[in-house]
Amino acid sequence: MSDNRPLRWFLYGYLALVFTFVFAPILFSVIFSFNSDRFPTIPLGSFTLKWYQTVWNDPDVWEAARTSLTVSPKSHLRSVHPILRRLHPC
Amino acid sequence: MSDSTPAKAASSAARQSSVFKLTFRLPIIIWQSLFFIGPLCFMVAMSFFIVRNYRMQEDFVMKNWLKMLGRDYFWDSYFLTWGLAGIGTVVTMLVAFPAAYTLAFKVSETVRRWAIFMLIIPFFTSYLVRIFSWYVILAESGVINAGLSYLGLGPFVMLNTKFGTVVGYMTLTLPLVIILQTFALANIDKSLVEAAFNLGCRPFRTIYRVILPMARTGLIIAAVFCFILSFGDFVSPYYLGGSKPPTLPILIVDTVKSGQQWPRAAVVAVVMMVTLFVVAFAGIMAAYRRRFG
Repeated sequence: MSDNRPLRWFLYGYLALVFTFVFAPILFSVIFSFNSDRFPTIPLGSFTLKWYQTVWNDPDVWEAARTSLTVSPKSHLRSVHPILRRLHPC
Repeated sequence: MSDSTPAKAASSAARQSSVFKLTFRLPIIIWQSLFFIGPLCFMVAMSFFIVRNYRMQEDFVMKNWLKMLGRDYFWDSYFLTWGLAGIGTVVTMLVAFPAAYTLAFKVSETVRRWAIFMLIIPFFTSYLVRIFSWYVILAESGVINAGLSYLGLGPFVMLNTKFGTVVGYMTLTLPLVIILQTFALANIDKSLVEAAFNLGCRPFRTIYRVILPMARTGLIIAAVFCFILSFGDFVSPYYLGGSKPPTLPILIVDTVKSGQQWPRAAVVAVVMMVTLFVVAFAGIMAAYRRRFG
């Protein structure tokens, strides 16, 4: 079992496939953010930063970001507290 | 202070430390009662309320329960959710196992640590964003079908199918399941695996007879987590599964939207929670039972 080379390489390949599955959505959301077409289809259009500019200049996005930043520390505090307690048992 | 006996000092120290402990424990207890147990009780109570003229009124009637549990579409939805979450759990566990096995036995400590770190990264990105990204990948003019068309294979419909839902569930659960399985397998005493190998046990028999029984607790906990997350997930069946027929979380949203039927939605939610509680309890019983059969 320990010296089975083909099996070992098969397992490494399999692991790579699983990681592909996990990271594919993250990867493609990055790729399509630079795509010039309005709708995400293959083949890709040209490289563009247009969408980044649009989002940057959109006041709604800033408002939403502010909301997220106000809400997340509160839920963070709540979820981290038990962990802190474990790190410093008293 | 100076004349206190050691015993007295010890007891006062103990009292101080218990007060100290309490000050640290009390916030979480209060918080949980206020924002978890309280709403939970309110939701159970709400399932007995009544809606008149689109407004909820406090009452104690069985009408909502009888209406919901007496409808076929509720039970269709219930068993559909069971089926999808069940398939999702089985597929995720099977897909994750070889990966976790590799991480636990076939790579170095450093690689394993990096792999676990990589598997935590998806939790930093929004689940909803990843689901929409799958939308792009699975669509009829999406990445996979574009790739397949080069091979001369026709476009496959993957969105709005059960396949899409299961892919969505796996996006949510696969990293977590691999992490839990890896920890379960890595904690096995390696010398027992080697003993099985030295005594001439074949690899698959070793997995079945030695590794699986020893990792049982962790593996069952992973499956329970996977099932609970899938069962309660709204996003995958809605955006990738096409929401028809609805699973229970979608049914809750539909019920609330149509005619403000919060009490009936509460019925669905209570049924879901009871189901998940039973599943979790059964899973934990199975996980910590002494031996098989």
